[in-house]
Amino acid sequence: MISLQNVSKYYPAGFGKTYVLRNITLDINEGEFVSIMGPSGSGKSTLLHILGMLEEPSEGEYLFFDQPVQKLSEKRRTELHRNYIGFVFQAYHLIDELTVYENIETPLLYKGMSSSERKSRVAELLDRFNMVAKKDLFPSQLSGGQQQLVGIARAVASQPKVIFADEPTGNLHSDHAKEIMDLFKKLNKEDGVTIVQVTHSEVNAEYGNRILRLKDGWLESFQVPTLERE
Amino acid sequence: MLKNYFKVAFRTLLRHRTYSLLNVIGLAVGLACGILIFLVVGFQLGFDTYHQKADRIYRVVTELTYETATYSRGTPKALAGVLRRDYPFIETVARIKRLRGNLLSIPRADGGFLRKFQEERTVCFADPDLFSVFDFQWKTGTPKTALTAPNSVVLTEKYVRKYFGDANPIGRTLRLDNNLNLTVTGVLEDHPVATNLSDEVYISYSTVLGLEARSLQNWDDLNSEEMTYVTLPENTPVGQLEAVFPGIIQTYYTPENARFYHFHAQPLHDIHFNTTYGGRMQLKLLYAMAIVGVFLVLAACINFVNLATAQALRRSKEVGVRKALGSTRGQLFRQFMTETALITLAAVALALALAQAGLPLVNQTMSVFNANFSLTDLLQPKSLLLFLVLIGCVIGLAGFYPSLIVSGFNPIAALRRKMTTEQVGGISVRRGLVVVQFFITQLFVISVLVMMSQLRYVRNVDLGFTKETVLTIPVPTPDPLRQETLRSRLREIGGIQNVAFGNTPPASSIINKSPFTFDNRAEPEKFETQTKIGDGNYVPLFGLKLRAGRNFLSGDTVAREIIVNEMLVKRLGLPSPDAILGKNLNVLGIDRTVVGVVNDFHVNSLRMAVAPTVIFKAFSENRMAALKVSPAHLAETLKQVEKTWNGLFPELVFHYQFMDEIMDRFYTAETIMLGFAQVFSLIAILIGCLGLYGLVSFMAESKTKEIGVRKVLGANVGQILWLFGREFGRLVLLGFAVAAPLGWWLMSRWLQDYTYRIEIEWWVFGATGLLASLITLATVSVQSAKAALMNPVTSLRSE
Repeated sequence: MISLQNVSKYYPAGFGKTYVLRNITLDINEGEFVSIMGPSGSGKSTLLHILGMLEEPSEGEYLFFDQPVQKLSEKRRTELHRNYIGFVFQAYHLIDELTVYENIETPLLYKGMSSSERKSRVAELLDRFNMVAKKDLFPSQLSGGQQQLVGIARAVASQPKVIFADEPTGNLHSDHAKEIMDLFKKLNKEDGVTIVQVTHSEVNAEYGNRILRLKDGWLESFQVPTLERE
Repeated sequence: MLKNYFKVAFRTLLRHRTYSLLNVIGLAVGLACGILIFLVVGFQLGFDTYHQKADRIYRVVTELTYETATYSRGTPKALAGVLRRDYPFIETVARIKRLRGNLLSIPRADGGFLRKFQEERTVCFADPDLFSVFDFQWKTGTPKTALTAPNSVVLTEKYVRKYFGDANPIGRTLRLDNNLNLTVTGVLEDHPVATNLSDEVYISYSTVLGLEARSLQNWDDLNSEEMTYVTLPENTPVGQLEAVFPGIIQTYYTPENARFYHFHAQPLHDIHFNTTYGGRMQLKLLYAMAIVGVFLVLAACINFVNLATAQALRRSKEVGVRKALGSTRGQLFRQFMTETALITLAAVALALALAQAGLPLVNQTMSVFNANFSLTDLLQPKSLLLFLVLIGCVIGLAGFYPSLIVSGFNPIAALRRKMTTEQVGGISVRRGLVVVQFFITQLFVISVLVMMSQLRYVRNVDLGFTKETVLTIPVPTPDPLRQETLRSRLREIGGIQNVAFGNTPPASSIINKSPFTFDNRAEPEKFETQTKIGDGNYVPLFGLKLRAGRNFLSGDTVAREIIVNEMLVKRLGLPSPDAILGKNLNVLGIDRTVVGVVNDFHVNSLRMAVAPTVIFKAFSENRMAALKVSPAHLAETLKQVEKTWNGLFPELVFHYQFMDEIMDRFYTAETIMLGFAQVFSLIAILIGCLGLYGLVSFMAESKTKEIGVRKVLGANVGQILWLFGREFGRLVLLGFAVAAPLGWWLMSRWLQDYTYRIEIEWWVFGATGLLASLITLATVSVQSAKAALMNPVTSLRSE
């Protein structure tokens, strides 16, 4: 489903270039749960953003469902965002002026779904994430864990094929973190959603079926997490 | 989707109340000014455009080219008849003779009167053809018959109410100047406000034909209130009319006078704006106002753009999220445009309310034009269209740039809150916008300061005569005996120090000019002299100083003495004032002996240069009495004067004018302009402050980290404040650098209209710069002090 061939990312710096990612070659199949790990500045987030088509690679080729991403028009890419990709952010990034309900509804609006379809879809998600009572609250009225739940509900609202999560539990207590990670696991197992997460936490990384380790922009190793082996 | 946009828009506006309020108020104030100026300018431009034949109506005007040219909107009486008789290609020719200062009374059966009215400029004699030249709506009577018979009169509805109340006026009698009975034969609907046809009482021209028989063939008798209007058939070039004038002049003038006379066809649309021929509004003044209006709306838009782009920084997260969720750039653009439209519409609503609140003031200021503006004036299709286009432009101007910037955010950078000032619409663009605002503000301030100085100068300049505590009252009789009775009665009143009789005070809107012959020379002089009628008290009462010779002898009852001013001596090329004493001077066909020379004095506004002037006695020409009163017990004195006057002239209406008021009237246009300029510069300053406030908040926000770091490194509050001060000092200076020379140039041009004018001094620019700096300091200091005093830990943590 996702295939990177010799992808590099660099920024011009003085007379030379500063590399953030170097020669990454990588395949992710449908239904996988991949964790990207590495020290600060190793390029994890950049890799995730490239995968999520929020940034463009400087070199190399990216195939998303066999389509060369760098050749897609902005319009087509937006369409992929709407229909195939969901994002979960470390800082939740809910829209402060919208209620829980409206936040979850937003991607469906962009997708152009009819009003009745939207209603039933949002209701279903609220129900599933146990947030029915909170649907009219604003993000500022929720705890961090609750906000992230909304963030995930929003990410899955448009029934994406893949969710990119950038340190989804980075701002959360460990209790909440576990809850969120269990939810990802469930989405992966039961709904077959492909999940790619960036994380600092070995524990969280264990939830995935594969760990990618980055160092100074190089992809160091694949690792099959212990949990998976059991 | 739209619902979603609106929801977000409303909630964002509510959450950032201060910002929204600044935005809405700034825009509303600018727009309100725009609306008011639009109304005023539109009103002025619309003068007399409503006539069906407007584009082919002309007024024949006269230009007299002696040594200097004199212009008159009047024509000789006989011209209309000649045009009508000899040039059939002219569709209609109509004469109108406007009267000044007349008494209209409603007579009683026993010869007395029910009520009496003093009419200044609302009564005229008119040809019946006047009604086919201009569009009049008839309530009763017909244009064909109403004004054919002598002694018939047609009134507007307004004047019917004034004279007769609700009673039927047809067939009723009006008496003009206590000697001419007129019968009402028709009623006209009231004029639209925007017309120079100020007349309300139209008396048939045939009434005066008999009286005029003698002067009708006098082609040199020119009165600016006797006008000739013509309409040409469609598609007739005005050149065809212009071409007949030289022939007429050759036929009817003596060869030596024919050189001086020129007739011109003045198009109707030129009449209101051509001040040479008595137009009431300078076109360039209107253009200046329109530009001011555009500037104010522009300043408000700039403000909006500044505040909106500053605000965009706070919205960067939302933009990033929306992009990640699948929003296209176009959708974001539309979303932000929707918000702009909302704010703009809110501002428009507020602007309409503000404009409504400001209307009474505008109406009062424009009362010379009988203006009665209302916001419903905007509902006319043309105005409405323009107004809607304006709103569209504002939304476009104010919304386009911020929306474009915001929707173009890179989502990752936006989400990381790493928006640098460059991405949020380059600080240089915003700096540029602020410089434009500083420029506009300072230009306004310079203009206001110069106008104020000039106006104060013209009010306080030495006019060459005394105007303090002098008032004038009418002398309604040519009879010397009755005049003497009036004089002696007035002298009995305690508060009156002196009484002088004459035709006009030294400075007056009425100027009489005449050719003259000096020292029995064969030819009249090449230049004309202004003539003033005054008695032996005229010179001392008005404080005119004798440079040579003496005042009139009180025993000079034959009135053969004449006093001249220094300018006349100078223009005659005489070596000293003494040289003219005892010489003969023939003016208006009478030989007089020069007995005195007085200092030069202004006979009109300071726009006019001092000209040769003579003063002589002529009892039958006395029209006014000037009273020098003591300031104490003024009210009591006035009451006694009125009583005395009414006792002598019971059939007339008493009125008086202080010289100060007469002088002020010369500067009505300037006063109005200054009033507008003051208000608008205040508003420009206010809008500018709002914009500054926005920019400073924005800077404070984007510099939060820098300030935090600097404080941790040991910078004190003063040094932090200097960060802002330096930035804005530069912008003020830059604005000043453009505004000062342009302001100097513009105001110098304006001052060119005045023969007597101030020099634009350096303090004007000093004061402007200082004011701009102070205002900036006041606006900037609050917000930047807040940033400077902030605990560095909070500012650093937020990163």
